[in-house]
Amino acid sequence: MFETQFTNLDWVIVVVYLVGTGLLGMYVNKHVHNASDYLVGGRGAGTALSIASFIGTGLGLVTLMYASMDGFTKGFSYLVVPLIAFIVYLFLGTSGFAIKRLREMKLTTLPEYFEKRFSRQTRITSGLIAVLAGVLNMGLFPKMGATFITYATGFGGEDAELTVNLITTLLIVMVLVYTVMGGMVAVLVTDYIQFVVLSLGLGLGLWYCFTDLDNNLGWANMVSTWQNSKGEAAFNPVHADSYGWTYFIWQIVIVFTAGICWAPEATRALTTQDSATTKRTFLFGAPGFFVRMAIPAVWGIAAYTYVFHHPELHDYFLGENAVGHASQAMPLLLGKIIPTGLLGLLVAGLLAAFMSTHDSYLLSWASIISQDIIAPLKGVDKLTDQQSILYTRISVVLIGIFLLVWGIWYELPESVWTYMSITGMVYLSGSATALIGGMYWKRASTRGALWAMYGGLLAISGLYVEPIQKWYEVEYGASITYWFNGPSLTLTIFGICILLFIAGSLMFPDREQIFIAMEDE
Amino acid sequence: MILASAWIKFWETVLIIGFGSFAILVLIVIPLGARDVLRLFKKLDAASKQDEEDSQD
Repeated sequence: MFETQFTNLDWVIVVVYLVGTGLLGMYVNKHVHNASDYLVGGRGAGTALSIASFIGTGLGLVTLMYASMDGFTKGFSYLVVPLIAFIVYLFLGTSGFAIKRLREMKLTTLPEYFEKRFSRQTRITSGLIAVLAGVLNMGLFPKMGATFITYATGFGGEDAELTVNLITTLLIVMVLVYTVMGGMVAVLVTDYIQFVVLSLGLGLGLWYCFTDLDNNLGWANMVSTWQNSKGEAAFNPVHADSYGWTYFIWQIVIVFTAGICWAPEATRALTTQDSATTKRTFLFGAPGFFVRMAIPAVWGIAAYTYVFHHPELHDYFLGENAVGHASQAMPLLLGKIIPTGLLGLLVAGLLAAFMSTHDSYLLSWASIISQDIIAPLKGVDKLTDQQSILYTRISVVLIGIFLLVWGIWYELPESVWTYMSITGMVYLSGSATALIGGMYWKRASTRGALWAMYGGLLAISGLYVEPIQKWYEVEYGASITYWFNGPSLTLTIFGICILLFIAGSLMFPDREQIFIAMEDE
Repeated sequence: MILASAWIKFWETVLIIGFGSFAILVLIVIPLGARDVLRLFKKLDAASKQDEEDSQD
């Protein structure tokens, strides 16, 4: 029941594609002459390349997996998340809110902003928290990528854990070699190729979901299946049986703050030629940020429809013991409905996308370690080019080792997107508050920024929400999921960060601010 | 049921606009992106050459 249309021909396509991309990455390395080239591509990316890279970074296999999982479990309601992203990026692109100023400051990494605005200690703190949140956030990436490959290629089954772990290891090694060799120029160029291949691949997958009527797919079948199965909750995101209002507000906060200061994506704002290009990148990148979640969500919706109408798969995916199987549905669907040859091309493109996301993420977090933690701790303003590249590469390898351990040990939750949102909030709630507050509020101070960042660490508790909910239910026989959940907890923490930021800034103003106030008087 | 129908129509419209605008974006970005890649290589090499000349002076 887990067989797919993936054959040896598809394997050949995958290998040729990956080797070709790897060789290209090494080839472009000859254009890297210094640390700036390695870390921010010499700030030479034009608008079209920036848009392709911007979308390529966000359009990873991981995104496709988590969006399809939520599409599979929540139906059309999940489309509200890509819609929020679409609107937020349109707003950032037209207004230039925060991103324009970041580019004008000619930063290499985001935490550098905190030293320029506040203090060196703030930069180091921001760097440490960014890396902690970022690495935790990408902790499940390799396992999700491996799950996709396992089930799309027909290796899947009811007991495929070992296969998934082996593929996880292989993927991490490939990504590490690639990132260490190339740097940002390789990232920009391969992001572009990924953009081209994936745009075609996504369209292809969508085409089969909308046209394969033999397998009960197509728009009308999908809509009626979901409507009969889950009613209005499948379409209305704020319905009591769907996400609800708290989740909706939570997503607006996350997508907005991540657009401004989530390093892998916001770094794109730093690599462009000028601030006008930064704005254009966000503006024209908006459809990409919609599509990167909307298409896989439709795949997930189609996967639900498919297993619903196939009795042999129905119980495995929708029965009482179906917990944890949502991640396997979309790859299995694609493996079953896309013909041989095209399937190889799609898997190759998605694997390349997996690498594209990883190299961007690894490079972002590793450059924060070298530039914003090691350099300030060594007491130097700037590392030499050689030191910078060396520390970044060592950090890449260390993060890779963590990913290997975490990816194999940690169980995939039912909603990976919720896991990622919670881990993201560890950094976003404090740093976004300090970043936006520092830009638009004169009285913002170092103490306020530091308090907000420390406050954000409370969001780690969000990872333990589910065990606490289960424990409470067993202990007291009542459910607390309505008011105690990941979104409500981390939104509260975000509010606490804002309060800490305001209180710290008012109670402990920076010295310069005191002088300015005295001069004013 | 009426509310569900309204949501279905809404998502249909959102998907058409979203996918349509992305398709147009792809058609523009693919050729212009290739041009940017070549320009980036030229720029990086020229900057490196300039640095070497400056250091020799």
